[in-house]
Amino acid sequence: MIQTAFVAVSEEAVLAALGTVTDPELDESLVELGFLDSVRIEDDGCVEVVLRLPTFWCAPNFAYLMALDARAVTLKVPGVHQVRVVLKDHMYSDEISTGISAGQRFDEVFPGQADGEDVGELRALFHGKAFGMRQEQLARFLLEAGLTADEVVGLRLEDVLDTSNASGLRLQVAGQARLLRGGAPLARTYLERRRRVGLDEHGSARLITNPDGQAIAANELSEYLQCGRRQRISMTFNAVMCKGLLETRYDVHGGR
Amino acid sequence: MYRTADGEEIFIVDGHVHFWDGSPGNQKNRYAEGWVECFYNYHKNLSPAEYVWPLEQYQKYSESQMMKDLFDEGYVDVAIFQPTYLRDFFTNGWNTTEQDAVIKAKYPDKFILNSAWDPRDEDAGLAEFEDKVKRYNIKGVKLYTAEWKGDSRGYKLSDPWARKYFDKCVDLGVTNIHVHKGPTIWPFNKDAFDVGDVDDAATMYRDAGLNFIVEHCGLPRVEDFCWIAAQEPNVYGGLAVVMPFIHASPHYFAEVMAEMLWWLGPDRLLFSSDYALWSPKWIIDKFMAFEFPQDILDKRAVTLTLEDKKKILGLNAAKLYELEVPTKAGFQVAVPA
Repeated sequence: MIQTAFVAVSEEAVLAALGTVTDPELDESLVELGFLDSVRIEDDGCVEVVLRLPTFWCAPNFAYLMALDARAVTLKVPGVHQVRVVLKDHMYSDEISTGISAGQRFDEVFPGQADGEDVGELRALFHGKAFGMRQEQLARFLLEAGLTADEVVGLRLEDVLDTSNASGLRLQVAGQARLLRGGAPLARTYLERRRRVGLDEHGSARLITNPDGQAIAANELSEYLQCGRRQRISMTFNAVMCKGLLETRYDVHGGR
Repeated sequence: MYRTADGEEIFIVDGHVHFWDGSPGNQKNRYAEGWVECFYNYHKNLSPAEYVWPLEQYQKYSESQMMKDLFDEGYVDVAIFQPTYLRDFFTNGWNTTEQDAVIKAKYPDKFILNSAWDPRDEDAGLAEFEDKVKRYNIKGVKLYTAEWKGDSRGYKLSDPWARKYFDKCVDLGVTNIHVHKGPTIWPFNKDAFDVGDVDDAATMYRDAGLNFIVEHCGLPRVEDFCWIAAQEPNVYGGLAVVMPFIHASPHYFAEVMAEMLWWLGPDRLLFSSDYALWSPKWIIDKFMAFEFPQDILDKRAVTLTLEDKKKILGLNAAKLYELEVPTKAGFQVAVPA
């Protein structure tokens, strides 16, 4: 007996869900990157998500992770019963499309091609890089907004008062609430990446730490940020290249 | 030779050029087609519009076209042929030492002929490599760790057989190891752009005199590459793929160059066009005119003087390959580092 009432699947909800999936290597939404080719919603709650990538050769592990995440978030949208993910124009189009839609693990999709553990370690590695890059952006913003290195490394999570304010980031610095123009999106993204790497979420936890959650000395902040800076340069450079190649490949414009 | 407005002559070595055949007749399978399509999109995406070729020309270009683009118009004095075999995709290979050797024989002073090896060829490959080195007087190799071979999807420089090939390079005096990373995909579950195996090899063969030129400066893992290069004095950055960004995204080019200069300095960077991916003329014109924007200099205290540009555009490669540099170009005979 089917008890569930019929729920029409909203395209908007599917697109919003897909908008939360990021390319692990670029740390940007696959929708914003232009990697979402199309979405088709059928009456019976089946959804087909078609993905496309900048090149025929894009690393299959990242392609797999994106397709996996795209399926997982779409399955959570109310009314969706089944998700078929199609990766088009790729060296492993068939393997990834068939494997993901059937819910296969990575080593089932690519038997004999993995070395040891699953792709979890790869994902964690890139979550760490994204954390470093987003932290560098936020910390540099705070320094440019006039905070001292001492103040930056001394911030606690509870000092972040509001990140949803369109006019700026509300922050408590040395006991005083301040509004830092333009910083809210940086802080939101950083906090999300910070949550993903699993650091302490208590209000008393430090905001700016190394990837293991260890405090950074004020006199070492500048040098520490250089590491995040290099990660940001790599990611930004790759994003520029990937967006450009995608535009060239599919003759699309805009989005950059 | 590039001449500045003041009449100064700059000796140009293009560190990475190809004479490939990607024509449909040479394509074996859909991977070959995917390969050419991908290369063509790189070319189209990063070249100024007036330098974009039709696909047909790009698949297979003539010798006269190449000679014009490199030497007549592109300021190049000496170009280094870097082979990429890809025999699993292309019937006669994409760009082999043998194909390049035909051109080299016609213009012996214009080209340096590099070869290649693949540790998966084991003993037979070792003998063949030695033969090629002796036949063509080879001083450098290009290693393409992403090459497919049968069921294998790539190899690492730390593989046991790779070590035997490095030993052979030392014995034969093949001192310049150009390493291309990517689009590597193997092992599938790891970050296959990882340059850690270059680190191992560079450390192990430093005292034996091998130099490792990492093509594309380890893109897309600049952060790891810089870290390795800072610690290994025999690691160089090949600027293929990085340089054309000077047109398409000059700010990112500046950011990456600043990082390279900070970590490696001007003595360990080599200009390359990666012809026919891109053409040297416009890259060199733009590089000669290039200055760092202030916001980059605020974050990284680097300089790029005319002397630095001369090193990057030719003198560094001249040292590695012991080329004679005309004295008017502001340098005497290059001596090995």
